[in-house]
Amino acid sequence: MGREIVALLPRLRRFAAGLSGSVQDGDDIVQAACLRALERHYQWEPGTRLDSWMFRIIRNLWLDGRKSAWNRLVHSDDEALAAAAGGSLEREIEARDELARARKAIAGLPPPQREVLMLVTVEGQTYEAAADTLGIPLGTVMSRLARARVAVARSVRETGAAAQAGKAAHGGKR
Amino acid sequence: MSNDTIDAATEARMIRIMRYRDGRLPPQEAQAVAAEIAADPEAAALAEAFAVGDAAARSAWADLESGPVPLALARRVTEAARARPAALPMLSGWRAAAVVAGALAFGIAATVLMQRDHGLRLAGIEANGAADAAWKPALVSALGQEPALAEVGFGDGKAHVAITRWFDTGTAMHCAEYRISGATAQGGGIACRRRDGGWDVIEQDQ
Repeated sequence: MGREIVALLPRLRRFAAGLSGSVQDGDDIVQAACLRALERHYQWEPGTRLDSWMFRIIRNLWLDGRKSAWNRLVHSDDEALAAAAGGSLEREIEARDELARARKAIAGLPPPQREVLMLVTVEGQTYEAAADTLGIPLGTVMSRLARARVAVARSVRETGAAAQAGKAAHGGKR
Repeated sequence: MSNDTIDAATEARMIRIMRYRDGRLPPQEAQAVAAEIAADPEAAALAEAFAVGDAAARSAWADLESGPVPLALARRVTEAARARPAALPMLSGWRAAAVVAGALAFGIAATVLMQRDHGLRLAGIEANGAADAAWKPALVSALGQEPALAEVGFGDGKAHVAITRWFDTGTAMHCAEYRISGATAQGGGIACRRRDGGWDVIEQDQ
């Protein structure tokens, strides 16, 4: 199973970074998730998708981390977490980086919307598969997904417009 | 319209338009939604928002999926997998036997193949330069004959690379296990196909 997990690493990293809002935090989660998966390999049912199982482990570790005492100390609530994820991106946003705007938009979503967006829109899971991965009803998946996509669209437009305005104010210099 | 205060009718409409965009509506309903979008600017704006939101979400972390995996992370996972022989029953019997036999024969644990100059993902086969072992072009040629278990000779003609197994990781990722036999090169590993059609050596015995 080790080799199969190594082969999944690029997608696991993308998923964890999307949830946590940073590459570094995401990689920490991915490493912990891989070690946990190898320890509990007997819990994986052969014939089921290894990637979905890994996504579930990553998601649980991410949620555990958010609940931890350390994390509560550092990030007092969801808004603080989103702000922290976005804070380090502020300079990039000033640099009118579309990528940074998209990342900030995702980091600004409530966590339940973020995980559905990452699974369906980014990882390409069906609504049904995401409901199964997350253990939530199909209707909840669709509701959260629709809200998440609209919120991301609004966020990138707003920050994009702000960047444009800033650009204009600086004489159009990049 | 705040994200938290969407009324039920608005939400139902959002979901309807989203499912239409995702191709998840039955034909008759889909026709109705297409007409709704054509007639109503607000519905059209929602459809447009889904497109913008999707594009942004997909682009946000795309570089992680297409870029190199940090060597330390890949190595940590590989070593952890190796330190847990209990994981081997997940593999078929002959495969587990091959891994054990390989370790005994070469006396060195398989390690992630690293290419210092190019970073890692984990190492593009074709990115390797002239100093490379002759087995690499042979491996690329053998991989090109998918789904056959191809055998391609190299060097003096007695050496060869053989694909021993094709497998999927349960995703779009398609991989092959291979063995190298020859006087100057021996071992084996795993190669996986990249999105761009090239191949990466994920793991290589040394």
